[in-house]
Amino acid sequence: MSYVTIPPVLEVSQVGALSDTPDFKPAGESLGVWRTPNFPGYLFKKYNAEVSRKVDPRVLDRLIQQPHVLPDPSEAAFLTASTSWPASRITEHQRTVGVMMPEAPPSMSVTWLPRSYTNPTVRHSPLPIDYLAKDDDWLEQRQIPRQSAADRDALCRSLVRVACFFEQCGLVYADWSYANAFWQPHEHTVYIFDIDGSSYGPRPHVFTSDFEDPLTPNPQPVDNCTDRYRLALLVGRIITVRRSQPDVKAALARMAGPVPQTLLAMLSGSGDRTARPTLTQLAKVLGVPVPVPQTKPIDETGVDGWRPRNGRSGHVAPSRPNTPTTATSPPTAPGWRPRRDFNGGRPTHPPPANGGLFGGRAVVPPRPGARSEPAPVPPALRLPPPPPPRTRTPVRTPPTTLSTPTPDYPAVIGGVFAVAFVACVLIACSYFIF
Amino acid sequence: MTEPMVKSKVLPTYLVVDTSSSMKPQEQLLNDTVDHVFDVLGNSPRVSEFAHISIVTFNTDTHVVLAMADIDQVSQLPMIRCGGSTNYGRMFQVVKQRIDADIDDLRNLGRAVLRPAVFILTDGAPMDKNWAGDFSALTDKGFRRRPHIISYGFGNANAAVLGKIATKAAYLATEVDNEKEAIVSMLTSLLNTLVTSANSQELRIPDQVDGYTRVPIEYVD
Repeated sequence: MSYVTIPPVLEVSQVGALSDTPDFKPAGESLGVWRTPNFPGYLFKKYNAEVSRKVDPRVLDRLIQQPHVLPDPSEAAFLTASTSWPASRITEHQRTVGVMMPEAPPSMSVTWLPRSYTNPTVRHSPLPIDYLAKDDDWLEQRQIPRQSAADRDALCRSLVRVACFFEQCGLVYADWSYANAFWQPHEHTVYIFDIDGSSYGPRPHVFTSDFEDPLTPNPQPVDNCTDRYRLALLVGRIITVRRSQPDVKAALARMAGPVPQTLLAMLSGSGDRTARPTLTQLAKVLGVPVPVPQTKPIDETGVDGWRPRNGRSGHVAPSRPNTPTTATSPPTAPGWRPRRDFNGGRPTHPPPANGGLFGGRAVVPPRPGARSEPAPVPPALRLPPPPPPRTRTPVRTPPTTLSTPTPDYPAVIGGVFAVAFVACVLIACSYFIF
Repeated sequence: MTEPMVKSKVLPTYLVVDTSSSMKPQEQLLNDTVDHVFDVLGNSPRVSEFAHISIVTFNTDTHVVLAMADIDQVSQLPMIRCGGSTNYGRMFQVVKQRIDADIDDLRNLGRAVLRPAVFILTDGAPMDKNWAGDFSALTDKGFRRRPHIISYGFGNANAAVLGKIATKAAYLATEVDNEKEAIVSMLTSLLNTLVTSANSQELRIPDQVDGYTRVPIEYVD
């Protein structure tokens, strides 16, 4: 597989010339989404003025780095295949104006026939997850393959696996709904987008049409407990093929097994919202491999693990068919930000209560004298592992399979000869002088 | 402790089209554009389940050519024919009757019914004299189910009249090259309004409509 790389921060001028009208219409917080000439396979989402003003670049930078700290390469590959994870923060005169993210891979697009009263025309495009909450007859009318219960289970497992990753990282997605995911009816995979608005910890209320949590009414901040409700409703709608919340709950109540019971508990509309089963618990009952997030403490080197691929820098995404396999950044690529710009760090500490991309601080500022979390070295500048400092803790010591160092015999012999040679030279000199 | 009942919202939407004889040249275009609106909405389940639509045509008399329905359930669309004069009074009466019946039906389906939205497209002035009383009955504050009315006028439509029959917004086509553009723009506006409203779960009226100028309205909610 070939890869295109992209730096974590880019000036908007380096994105390339954009068309007058966006490739995708503006929605919510954006002025539109463009395909980028200099980075094929990526999309540029341009924020509106309000979001540009509110966005916290540290949170966005931290989010961009998040997949790179996954210790398990297969988890990272799954995340790449299943999400449009933000790849680069776009700036203009040092102000954040948008974000670059990978476009859904071609494999997510399928050929189908939109319903038309007069002029049916075949379309090749990704399918919104909204369609998955419709029955087989509806799908068949549009020449989309029928989905068996097993197919729907497989799709839900993909969905929950991504959601579980969010939860494990302390991320609040808040936007689980019909609008932010595609699904593939043959491979039973999903693709989640609009991730750039996620926050570490609670964030101001995000209204999500038909997915509002009765226990998190507007304007109450949304958090992981809200995510539990919204994702459970989405999964419940897919499994039961019912759309209204009461119908979903009634259908789940008629089903046996731990999955419907867990979903029902997550959809609880009364009592303690924090008592709802977590997404990780849902993942376990669904048989989804639970991702292991980076939990090791970060020492002063800023190195907390080793990347699975050497020689790659920045965000890596599968290339698109028309992408040159050797493409990296355009000639005008700016290099990397100075380390001092990065204040996000990795989510190894509890998320702040008021952290969020669109308001509040994302990272608790270091107390004077306290040990600050070092800025991670951008991947492109990542140096070979430094020699272990004296203060390095045992957990930070690179693993080794040998308990006793093996002597380097050629080096020892060479050293003996060198010492003897110098001694002879000194004796000879003293003989001639005296 | 009983859980609060979560009802999904529905916006009863009425597309009220002037089909008097002056609209005859635009008959085919009118049908094609309505088809397009329904094609788009029919492939967007979250919009179609939020906005249920009824089509009402009016000329000398008024006809409910498509009863209030989830677009998903609509298998055939009516062929709209034009002819006759432009009578507003009867149209307002029929809309009021339908609102009462439709809201009852939607409530029986367990939906949380929003205030109805009526989109009127007309190309002329009313020929009947006493329509104002019927309009008042429809929009009277004593009528709890009174709708929001948005009016669109083109051709010989009168700005003052458009302003009188709207409660939310009135638009007059002033910057279109022909009547085709006016019809397409109006129905595109309707489509966008429903999509936007579905996302926010409440009626969202556009500030601008391509080719149209907003005119002051007399009625204030």
